[in-house]
Amino acid sequence: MKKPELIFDYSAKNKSAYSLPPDFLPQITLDPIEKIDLLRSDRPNLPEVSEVDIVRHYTNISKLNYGVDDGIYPLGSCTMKYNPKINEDLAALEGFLNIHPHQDPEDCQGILQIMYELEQYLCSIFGFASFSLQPCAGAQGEYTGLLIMKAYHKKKGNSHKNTILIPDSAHGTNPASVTGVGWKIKTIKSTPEGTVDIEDLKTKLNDNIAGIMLTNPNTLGIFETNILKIDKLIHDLDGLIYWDGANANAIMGYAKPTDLGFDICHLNLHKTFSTPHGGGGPGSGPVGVVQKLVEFLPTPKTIYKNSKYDLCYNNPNSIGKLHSFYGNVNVLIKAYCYIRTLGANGLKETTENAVLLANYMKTKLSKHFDISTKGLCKHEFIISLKNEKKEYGIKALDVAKRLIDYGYHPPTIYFPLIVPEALMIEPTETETIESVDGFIETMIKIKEEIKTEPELLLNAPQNTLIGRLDEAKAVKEPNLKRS
Amino acid sequence: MKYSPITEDQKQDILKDIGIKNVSTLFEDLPNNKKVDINLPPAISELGLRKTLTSLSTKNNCDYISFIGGGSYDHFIPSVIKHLISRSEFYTAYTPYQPEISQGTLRAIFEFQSMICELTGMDIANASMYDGASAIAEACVMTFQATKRKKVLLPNSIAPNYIEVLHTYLDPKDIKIDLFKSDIFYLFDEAKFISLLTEEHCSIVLPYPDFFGNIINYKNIIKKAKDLGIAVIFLYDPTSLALLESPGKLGADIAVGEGQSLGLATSFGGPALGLLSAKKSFLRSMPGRIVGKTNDKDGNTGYVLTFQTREQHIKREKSLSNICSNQGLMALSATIYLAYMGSKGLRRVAEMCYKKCSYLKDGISKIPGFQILNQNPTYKEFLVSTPINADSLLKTLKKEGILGGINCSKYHKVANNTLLISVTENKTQSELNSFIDTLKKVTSKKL
Amino acid sequence: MIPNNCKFTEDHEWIKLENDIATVGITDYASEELGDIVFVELPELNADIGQGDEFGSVESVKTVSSLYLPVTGTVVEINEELNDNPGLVNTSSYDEGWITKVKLSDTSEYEDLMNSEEYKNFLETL
Repeated sequence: MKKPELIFDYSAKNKSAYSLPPDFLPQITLDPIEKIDLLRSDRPNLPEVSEVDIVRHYTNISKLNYGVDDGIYPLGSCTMKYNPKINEDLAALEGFLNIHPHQDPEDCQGILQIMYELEQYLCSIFGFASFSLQPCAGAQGEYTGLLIMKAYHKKKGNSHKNTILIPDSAHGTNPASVTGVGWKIKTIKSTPEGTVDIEDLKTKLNDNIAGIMLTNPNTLGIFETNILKIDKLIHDLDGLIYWDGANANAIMGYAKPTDLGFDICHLNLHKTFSTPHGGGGPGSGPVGVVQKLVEFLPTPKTIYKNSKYDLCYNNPNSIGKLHSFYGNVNVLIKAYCYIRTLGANGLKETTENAVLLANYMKTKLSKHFDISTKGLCKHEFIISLKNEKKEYGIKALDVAKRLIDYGYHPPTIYFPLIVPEALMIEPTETETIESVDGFIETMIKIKEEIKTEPELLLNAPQNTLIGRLDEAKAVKEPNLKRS
Repeated sequence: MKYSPITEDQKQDILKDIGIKNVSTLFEDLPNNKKVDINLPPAISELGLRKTLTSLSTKNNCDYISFIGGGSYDHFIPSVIKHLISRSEFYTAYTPYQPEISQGTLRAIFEFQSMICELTGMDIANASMYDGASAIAEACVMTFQATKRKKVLLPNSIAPNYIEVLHTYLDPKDIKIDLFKSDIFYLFDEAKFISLLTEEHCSIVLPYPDFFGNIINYKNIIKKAKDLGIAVIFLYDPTSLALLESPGKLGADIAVGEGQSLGLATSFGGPALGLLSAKKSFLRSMPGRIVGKTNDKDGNTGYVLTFQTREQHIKREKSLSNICSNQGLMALSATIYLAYMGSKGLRRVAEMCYKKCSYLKDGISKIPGFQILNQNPTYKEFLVSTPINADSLLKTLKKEGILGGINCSKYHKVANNTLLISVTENKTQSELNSFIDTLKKVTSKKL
Repeated sequence: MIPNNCKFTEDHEWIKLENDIATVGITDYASEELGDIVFVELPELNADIGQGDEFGSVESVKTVSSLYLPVTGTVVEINEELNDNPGLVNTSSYDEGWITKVKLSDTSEYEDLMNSEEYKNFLETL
């Protein structure tokens, strides 16, 4: 008998799980809907299963996954740190789950206080004057930030400023967001070390430059030491400097982006602030701004007035709403809990340990692999397998798949684009030295296999339920829903 | 230190291994221009955190019988959902870019896509958007891509907060929103709407039901739209589709919805769940992640993120949407909800929403001074004109432990004394009767 | 095998002129680098495209490669076979995997392109 794969495979006629009260209104018919020809004529083909089937199925398929709770998750640029359980419990309190977004603010003082205080905390940690917690993800935060930049330039009568400078090492959401707001991009080259080539930047400056988007530390895990020079070049043109806060885990307590000249930023709460990734979401991408941009923040704003928390909709220069309500509010609660648990010293130690562990791994692995950063790195570093590709025909993808055989989730591969055959490693501060050592040992073992038994990598993974999938077939013969 | 298990001794060993004397060396390349002072409350223990958050949660008052809807609904949520999505293999997992160790997430998304297509009658669905509002916005952009026409026509019977979000997404792209206003805001003027359709429109958005709960048959509009090459976007309530004809059968090109009604708590509005499905001709312009079924070289079935070249990490500035993270765990919740309900259970939910709505409308219409304003059959929500000021009515009801609805004059200035009342399957007969009796009681004193 | 009867660009497009109609495709080197090609975005018929302008793209599972027209021309034919069978670009890059045919207004642009010997040398520098 074929093993069930999808919940539909458990279906049998008249099996059911639902439990609903009986119909006390049999006298009310569906005639009015039928009269306007809108009564459903077919039956949607949903599973017909029992509660036991549901619990068994999702329990079983969950075991085909790998979460942070399973082991180290060294995905560079994703900051896969431990998701505290107390935060899950507290965010699930009834008073947080059952509150309705249209209720009077006087009935929502608890959640409004959390939102207000979280905003204050983020301002303090990063230096900004105000934050909007509305964007649901980093990408939506970038979109919001760029709209704010657009509004700023429009107000100053500078609508000709329509171009954003972006390094070639940037995350894909950066240029995609710029296009989304109707602006243009000029790409800045990176130096051989992977930092912004300031000479190339200078050649691309003109009066149409509205600003620059930078990740700092950058996507290679290197701090852009030229940042103050870059600031001056951009600010001299009345451009704005946007901080992609994806790598915030590397600077808390050691630098505030506003001191580095950044005017506007987004953060990723599901990275730096420990909220769970959820298999793809929900995330949260709060946007922070310096004082001169506060008027443009999304509406509504959380305020504290006359000893009460409230939502203020009177924001005439706001760029508007991004979300139907106030963003991924339940995610915000978890980030709030995290900050309350760590305090200022805890966040600083978080950064220290994240950077320590990354450098520890880098030191040990640099004896065996080609690592682009020669000196100290921040919270992540990149191994390039371009030599292994040339000599042995083994690519970053093959190493990633072989790591799966050893029970590890692979690091980020093929990002940033400027490093060939990239494997980007970020341990985060929540790893034990034992788990990090285990990963290092495995990488060294795999390096040996590259030389002596490359077919182990080429055929990997072998120890999982399925091997490498025919992704070309998935495109050429699309099968996107159950037929 | 909390959550970071490295001990002080281990730190010293690590420093030696790296070859530096202290931790501050790691940050020497940062400009020393300013001392970093972070002003936060002192760290608290887990015990302290529990007390603090519990106290905050009690400052939220959910202890009412609530008839508030307006885009977020108080539905029955089966208890299995919470237990299953709390499995750490689901919620602590990353995006399933490495399919060999993500078959759990990938199978669930494939199920989700399948179920959404079944409900909506469309060919393809994605793995979620942020919410219903951003889903409509992205749908409009898809139709703009397909036709290069720069206008979208939508009626103001769509939720007002959605219209605001649409402006935020479409204005910067120079896609113009033609907002159609019926003479009487809650009575959709079909003939007038049809007269406004032109070949300059890439799409129209049809709410199903609309913000006031009206269930409207748009077939005349759809016919005219098709004649003019205008794409039809349905904005639907997912539970209603167990009862109402599917957007696919009615001629929709794209169907979008808010999935909060599928097993998600109201949660002060988020996280929500954007639903996006479409005809297969839109596959290459559909934003967001999509899971497909394939196999490995041994013929084992596997599920994988596919058509990734549409997305930002590959197309970069050429991608049609910048979306990366989505509402993955909420999509899983909705999948479990739909499996739990099945089509029979979902039909029961929908019928109860419809019937309880009818029952309440009927009861309220008999109270002197109250008038039901909808002329269409309604689903889950209806509009009532009140004999006294809606705000003061709501205040009085609150004192009786009832949240009576939404004062519509918040959105429609001419809507003096109107209340948008929502009823879902979770209301008991006695709660409905209590509401009717209380309305009678509080208004009879004042008349 | 790099054919002798056409010209090449540094973006790995090949172009073969017959009278005033030029057929354009991508070289073996390009299709091998891309891997399994799953989609070809063809230009619109009758579109006027300038030299160096983007006229379409070629996709593998994880990459999108833009195609730039080596000459100025008007699209007179597109290889619709590639809609159902994009893999022809891999299996028959210079023959059945052709992508578009354009009518040239100025054949001198064609003369300036690399010949097969020059392209072969160029590949060795990569």
